[in-house]
Amino acid sequence: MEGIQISRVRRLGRFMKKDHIKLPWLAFWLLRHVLPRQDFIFLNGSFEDIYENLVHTEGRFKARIWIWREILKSLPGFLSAALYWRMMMFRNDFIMTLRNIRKHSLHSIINIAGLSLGMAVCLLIFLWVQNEFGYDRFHGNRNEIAQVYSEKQYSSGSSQIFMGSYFPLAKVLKSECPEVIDAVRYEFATGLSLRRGEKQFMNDIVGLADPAFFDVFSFLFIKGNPKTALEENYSVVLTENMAKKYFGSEDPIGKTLTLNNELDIQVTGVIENVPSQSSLQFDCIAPYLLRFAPDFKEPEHWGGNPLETYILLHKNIDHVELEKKITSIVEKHAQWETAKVTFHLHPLQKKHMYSPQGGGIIHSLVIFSAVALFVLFIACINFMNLSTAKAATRAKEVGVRKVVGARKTDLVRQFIGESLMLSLITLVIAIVLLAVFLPAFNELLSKQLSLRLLFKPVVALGFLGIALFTGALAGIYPALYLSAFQPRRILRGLIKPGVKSSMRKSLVVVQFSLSIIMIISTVVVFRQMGFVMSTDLGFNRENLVVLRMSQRTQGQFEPFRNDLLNHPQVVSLTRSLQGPWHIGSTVSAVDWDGKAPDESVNMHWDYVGYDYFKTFDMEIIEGRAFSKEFPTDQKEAYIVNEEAVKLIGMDSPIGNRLSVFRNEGKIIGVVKNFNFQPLYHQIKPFVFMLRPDTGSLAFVRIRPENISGTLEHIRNIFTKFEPDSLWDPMFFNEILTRYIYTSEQQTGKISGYFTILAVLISCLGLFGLAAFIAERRTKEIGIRKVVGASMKDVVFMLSKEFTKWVLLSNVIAWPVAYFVAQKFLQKYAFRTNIGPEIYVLSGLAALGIALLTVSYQALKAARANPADSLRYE
Amino acid sequence: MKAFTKKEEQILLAIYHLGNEAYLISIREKIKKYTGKYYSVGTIYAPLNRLHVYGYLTASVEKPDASSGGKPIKYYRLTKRGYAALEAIRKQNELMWKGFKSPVFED
Repeated sequence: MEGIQISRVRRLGRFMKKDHIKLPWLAFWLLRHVLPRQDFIFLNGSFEDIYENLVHTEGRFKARIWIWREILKSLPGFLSAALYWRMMMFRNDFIMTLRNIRKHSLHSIINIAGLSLGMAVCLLIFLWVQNEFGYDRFHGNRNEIAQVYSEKQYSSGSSQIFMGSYFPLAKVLKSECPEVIDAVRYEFATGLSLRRGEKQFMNDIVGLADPAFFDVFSFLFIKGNPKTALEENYSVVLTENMAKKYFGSEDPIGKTLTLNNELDIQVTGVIENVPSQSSLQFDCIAPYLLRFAPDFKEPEHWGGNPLETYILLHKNIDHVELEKKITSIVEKHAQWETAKVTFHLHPLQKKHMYSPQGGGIIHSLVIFSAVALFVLFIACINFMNLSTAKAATRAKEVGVRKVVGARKTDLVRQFIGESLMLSLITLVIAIVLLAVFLPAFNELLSKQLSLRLLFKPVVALGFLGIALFTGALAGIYPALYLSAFQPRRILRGLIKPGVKSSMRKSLVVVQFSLSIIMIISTVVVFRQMGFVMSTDLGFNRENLVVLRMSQRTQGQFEPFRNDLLNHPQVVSLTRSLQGPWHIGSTVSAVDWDGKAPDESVNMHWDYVGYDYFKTFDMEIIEGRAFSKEFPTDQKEAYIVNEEAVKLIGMDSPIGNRLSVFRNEGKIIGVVKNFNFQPLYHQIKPFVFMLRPDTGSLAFVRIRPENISGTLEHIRNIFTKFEPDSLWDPMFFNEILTRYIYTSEQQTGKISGYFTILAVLISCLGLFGLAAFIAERRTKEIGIRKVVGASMKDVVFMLSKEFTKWVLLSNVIAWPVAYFVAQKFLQKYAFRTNIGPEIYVLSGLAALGIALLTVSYQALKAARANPADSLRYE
Repeated sequence: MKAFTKKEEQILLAIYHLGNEAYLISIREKIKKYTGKYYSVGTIYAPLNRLHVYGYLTASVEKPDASSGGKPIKYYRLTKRGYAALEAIRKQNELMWKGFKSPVFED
């Protein structure tokens, strides 16, 4: 009781003293945010008056109800008042923007052209990045799937990562790791043929996978049961397209296809076509065991093979812990002899972007995002420079606006608003440009990006975001610069803004530095590509035709070979299992006399046919090549490269014992070192084994004369032996550019285009600036000419300044470009020499282009009649 | 001259009649006295603000004193333009009302 009374007294006391009541805080807050600042204070006062009266007469409760009714009823009025003025300002700003665009048409064209090119580049890269990040998103278990790969450590201290896995791994993981829900093997097999009656197609990608494949990955079934589709050994699941190709409108379920002309397999399911944004690409999936048909006996050994093992984990499993566990489990089973093997997990979500062996598409994405931003930034610099250069024409406007009461923030808002509006106009043009660029870009990257993606909210928002970002980036500096003028000095004509600006100079220098860096980087990429394509690989790669033989021709290699050789221009012919553009397979089971028992080594190897060294023009520096005169060559002869000799450590290796894959033999020859891998890698020890009956690759050495005639001959023979196959011969160099150095090709071309754009946009800006400077100095030039300056003097005078800027840019660009070039070349074990002449020439090229741009304006100014120019202003 | 809305007309007239005592609340009371309609603060505020910005009214801020309870008050007064506007409105009205006569209904 007492407590209540005291509090009432206190409250009364406060009431009496202050003598007025404040509005409820929420009402206060609302008014404050809705009303314009200058009116809030009065209206708040009015409301408080009324409220106070009501509290006295009607009581607090009624007053409160009343005030809320009043405020809610007033809100539309307040809002309309606020919006009304916003709209008026917006209309005014909009008209000003359009007027400015029209008034300074040259500058507007330069700005809009540059910005839309820059923006188009950014949109393009954004589309691409967005696409690459969308890979493998359609799997329901995408966060719980990982690929298991291994890393081998050798006693030499080096290690190697193998994505290829082991036959028993999946089974062991599933039964011994409680963290693993399911484990499946997957392998995509190429060169298998499928046939249905008369219908046969080559080049279908046949995926081989364990039955649980469809439990782990989410490929949607149209027909059939995903649980049981791969249970039966002779079964196959087709994609929709495949089903259509072979069965047309028939129901394929239960029908039979023939694999490699020997195995009949039954269609048990049809799935939707594999999305293009999937790392696993296949046309059909057959049970993994089909590999071991007809007895289906799985090998139990722990040797590396070209299959992949994927595991499905429970949620929130610590990968590092599991990796250790897998390593120790496998160690128990496999009993490795020498090399130490550790296992790692590669999450499916990362599979497309990163490669455990280093590299991955993420690097290209980062590089090109950066380059696209550079191009955009260069365009933004144009906008900044031209806006500030034109400041004199807008200074009066700023002065007047300020005098009639605009605050600095109002002006900043106005100018930023202008540049945002411009950037939205630009966005429309950029999207049109994008539509023009897209097909070429798609072809370059073999992608299927389309403008239809614009309907995806992420993309639409991204585009809008890029446009607004551009507007803000380009507009912020001019807005701050223009809004800072003091009206008193402007309006009295005391200062002429925009005439001199060190900021502008530095921005031009930045622009040209970026351009020069891009020029040099592009030249370096192309130089290295040229080097890669022309350097001596240790064999002759010119006029070497590569053919892929199907199983049938492989069995009839001798007649095939004889028919081909029956032409004057065909020099020689051989076969091998792997192509020396990238031989990845290695063997650790190597032994020789005098090898330390605990020494773990690793040799690359290949099975080759007769005439291999002759066809490739490889030099045998010791001993001899494989020969038919020595029938034992097929079993016990090895040819090694110099690197292998170094590893073995013998002075005269010929005739010495060597065992590979536990097969005893002798070294019969030493071949000069040659590059059997892309030039990223050093040359490693290599051993050749003779297997005249294996290998699906045929290499044909032809004479350089009348190549098309020779190809015609090869074609005739090839189609005779392979009536069903596609005739798709390739030259060795073609394989290198198309399959091995694809990323260099893409990088080179894209950066080439981007560099051209960057230089073009920079020059546009320079053109505008030169026009501005020539105009500003019209009178000066007139006077100079009157007192006897020649045209040459005037042109020189005007170009001098720009020359200084570009030269300064060179000084800045060279160290950066050097760094970039080193970074790029670093991944190559064999690289071209980048001398200083490349830097100097690139710099001179930039200077030349810049001077060419400026000279138009300079000549125009120099040719003007002084009589006209002196009357100017 | 732009056309005025009924509300604007009422506000201008109320200010005229209030003389030196025209501020938002008193204007509202005055209009209520004439028409019986009690506008909300916001409904008055929007047109009032507009009229002010377009120059039909001037505003002066009275320093807070005891009579106003310590709160500043914004007083409005008609400008020359404001008077001209009222004049024009009256002319328009007279033109429109000229010869108006209600017929005699027989019921």
